[in-house]
Amino acid sequence: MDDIVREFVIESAEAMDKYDVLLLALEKDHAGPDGLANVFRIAHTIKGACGFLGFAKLESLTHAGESLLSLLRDGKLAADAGVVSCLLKLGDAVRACLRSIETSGGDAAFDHSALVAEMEALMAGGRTGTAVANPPGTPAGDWSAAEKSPDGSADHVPEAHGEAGRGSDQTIRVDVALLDKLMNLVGELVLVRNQVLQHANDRQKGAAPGAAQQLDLITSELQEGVMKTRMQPIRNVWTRFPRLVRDLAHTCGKEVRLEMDGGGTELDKTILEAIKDPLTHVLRNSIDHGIEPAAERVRAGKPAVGTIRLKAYHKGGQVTIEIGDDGAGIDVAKVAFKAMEKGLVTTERVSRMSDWELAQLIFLPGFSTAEAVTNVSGRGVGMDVVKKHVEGIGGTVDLANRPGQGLTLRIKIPLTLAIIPALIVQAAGQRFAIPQVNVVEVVRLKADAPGKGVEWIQDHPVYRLRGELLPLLRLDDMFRPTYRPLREAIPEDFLAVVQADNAHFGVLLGSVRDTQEIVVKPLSKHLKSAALFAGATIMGDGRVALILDIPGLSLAAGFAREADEAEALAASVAQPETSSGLSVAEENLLLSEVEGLGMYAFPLVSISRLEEISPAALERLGEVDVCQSRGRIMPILRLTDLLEGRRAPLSAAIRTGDQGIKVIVLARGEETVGVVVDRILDVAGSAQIMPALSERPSIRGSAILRGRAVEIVDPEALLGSALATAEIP
Amino acid sequence: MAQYCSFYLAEGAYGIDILGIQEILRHQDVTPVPNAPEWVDGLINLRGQIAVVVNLRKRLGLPAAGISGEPIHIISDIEGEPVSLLADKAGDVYEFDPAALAPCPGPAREGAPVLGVFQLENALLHILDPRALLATPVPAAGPLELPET
Repeated sequence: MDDIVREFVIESAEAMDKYDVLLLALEKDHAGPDGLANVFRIAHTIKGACGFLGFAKLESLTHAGESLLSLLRDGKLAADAGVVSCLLKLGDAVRACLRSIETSGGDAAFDHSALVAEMEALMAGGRTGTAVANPPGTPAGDWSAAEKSPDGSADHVPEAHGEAGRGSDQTIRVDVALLDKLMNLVGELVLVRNQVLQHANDRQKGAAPGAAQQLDLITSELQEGVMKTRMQPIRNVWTRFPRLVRDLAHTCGKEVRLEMDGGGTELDKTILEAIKDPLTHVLRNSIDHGIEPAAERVRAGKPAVGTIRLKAYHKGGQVTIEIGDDGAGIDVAKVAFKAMEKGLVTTERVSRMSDWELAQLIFLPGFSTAEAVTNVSGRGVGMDVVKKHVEGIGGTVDLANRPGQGLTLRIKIPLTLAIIPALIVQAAGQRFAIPQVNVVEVVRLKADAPGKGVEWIQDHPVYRLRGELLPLLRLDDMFRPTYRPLREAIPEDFLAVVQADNAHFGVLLGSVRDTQEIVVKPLSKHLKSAALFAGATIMGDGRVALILDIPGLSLAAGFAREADEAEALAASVAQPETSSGLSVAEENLLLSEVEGLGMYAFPLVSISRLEEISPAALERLGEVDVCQSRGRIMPILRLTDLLEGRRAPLSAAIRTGDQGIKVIVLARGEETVGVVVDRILDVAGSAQIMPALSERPSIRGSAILRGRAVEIVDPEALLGSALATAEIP
Repeated sequence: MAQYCSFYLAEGAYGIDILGIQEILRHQDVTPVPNAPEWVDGLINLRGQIAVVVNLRKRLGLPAAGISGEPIHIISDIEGEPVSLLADKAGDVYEFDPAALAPCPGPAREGAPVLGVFQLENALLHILDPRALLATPVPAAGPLELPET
């Protein structure tokens, strides 16, 4: 294809994107005075170029559109839905025509007589006045002259371009493959730079490090520049969404408003391309399944017009894209039913799932809740494809479901840019890189304080940092097959305060070497089991160093949990570390229930953790049931038995049931006891504690919590009797 | 006919289709990867690319090497990524007809890393399937029958 023609196709296609946006704004009446003039100009520009390039069909099509637009501009026709729809159809036709030019080199095969007739009918319907007034800012009659004289249009086209897409003069199109190659070269250059820098530092005395410094500067700037060429605002993808939402909403007979926020958030071009389809699909789903018909919405006390919010922002070194709607949300019962009906999960598994887990079922392949296959969705390929796409670029999809209130999907795309700044550290006898985005600060441990200032709460190391308790993590502990902090002398001298998603914690370090720009190389797919590392890089000395995955570490150590998981769990894990002994101003209580016997509350600080044990993991030892937990034997006893001072094996119903056994783990030093309850309910703040109602050694008192009478367990006494019980043969 | 690059592990002779082999290297600095499968020794820098080092002795359930000499890195291309297979020493290149590959005696095991053997004059050449070597969920293969030397 001719270069000029190719240029024409690309630029026209871009102009048409803008055309849609402008038209939609026009329909809603907030296009501003220039809106219509801009739409007009786009149609006019394309028409002019067509005349010049000899695409007669496209020219006559845009000519008709232009005539219709001129009526609008002169106020002889109102921009109502019918007219706008027709103009949008014109946009589609122009695009189809451009595609045909792109593939076959001409527009001869293209038929648009029906559309032209429709436009003419609209024009006739309006107050027919063919006199065309001057558009503000556009020279009069120029366009009509342009179609006759190629010279005129050639003069005119560049001018119109400059106005239609400001900055298009300032931009240049570069092949992405070429950019990729440049990017790789820059990556290699960064590596060489690092090597040279290291040499220069080693021989600082005498040798001239000037060249190295120069190389450093140039490389950094080059790297930044090349990187920026690849970054594009997410708006570029979003421009087509208003049109999409409008059309889909019409098709589905619903009213939907689209709000967009953070369109300036920049993403690597490849990532941008990759999320286009998933985003489109999620939007479709929101409109087709999420937003209810207007009548239903009004009945539910919601505004008749549904709202979809698109939001993009940088957070924690990742780009987060949220697609939220105020529709019906996911009906988990319906989802569960569908999933079982389609044989995607077993009834037995569903019965054990939390609401959050149930909502996740929509990500299963072959899942679709649409009652009927519609034009829009319901073909059974859906969210699983979205998930696969996003995961393909290393991202995650999460959802927050508020039944009746709406659904928010959160797509997180990690920083997959090839080069990142990182902190190079020494720990666990090895060198690691910590992405700088995760690092909050680096602290030198107090060498003179006992234990270097590291204190222990229930086997978890913590550090007091400006009055806050910071949970600590040692890489040595993490790298053992099962994570368990070892209470031993701390050889490390530093700690890096890092953040991941919703947790702050400290990583103990032997030494901190440097901050460096590192080139991220993905880890072999065969090492995916090592979720603790985000990748690897090559250091100045040519050796490989691993990049720590801070969110992965946080998850593995239990510092962060899925936000939508039961809050009680998160609180019980985090709480012992933050509110033990040091500030017991108020005591948090974990509420549990034993069927038929009422509610029992455990002081949160006394709880080591909560576990759900599969009955298959139970073993009989003497007269009690035990299970293996973190390399030790843990007796499992029913709370009711313990309160009565009995030692007894679990009932057959529990042992053979298919339900997980809910266990509250109490610990004293190394010894642990699992206390079985029927349900773990919630965490409650302190309450006024009243004397116990019954005289039992393991009950400390009673209280009213959540409007119910609750007995408060004395964990020490319970633990004492449990351990004694378990040990006596 | 196909060519097989041979190498030795604990006195046994092994071979890999030469088309899958990129190069053979001597000593490399290996960076260990905590929590990786135990037969993964770590990572090496292969001129800017990062290769996983698979300890073939551990992978095939052979006794650990003594201190005699340094192992060699056989860099092979497995599913598009470079992988270093750690062997005791390199041997000759042999030419065989793939159709003549004799299957291992005993019941066939799905995903076993040894495809079969060719007969050398005084040893058996075990032909390995590089992809099966990396299939993680497979438990370490039992000790192989060593040819008498």
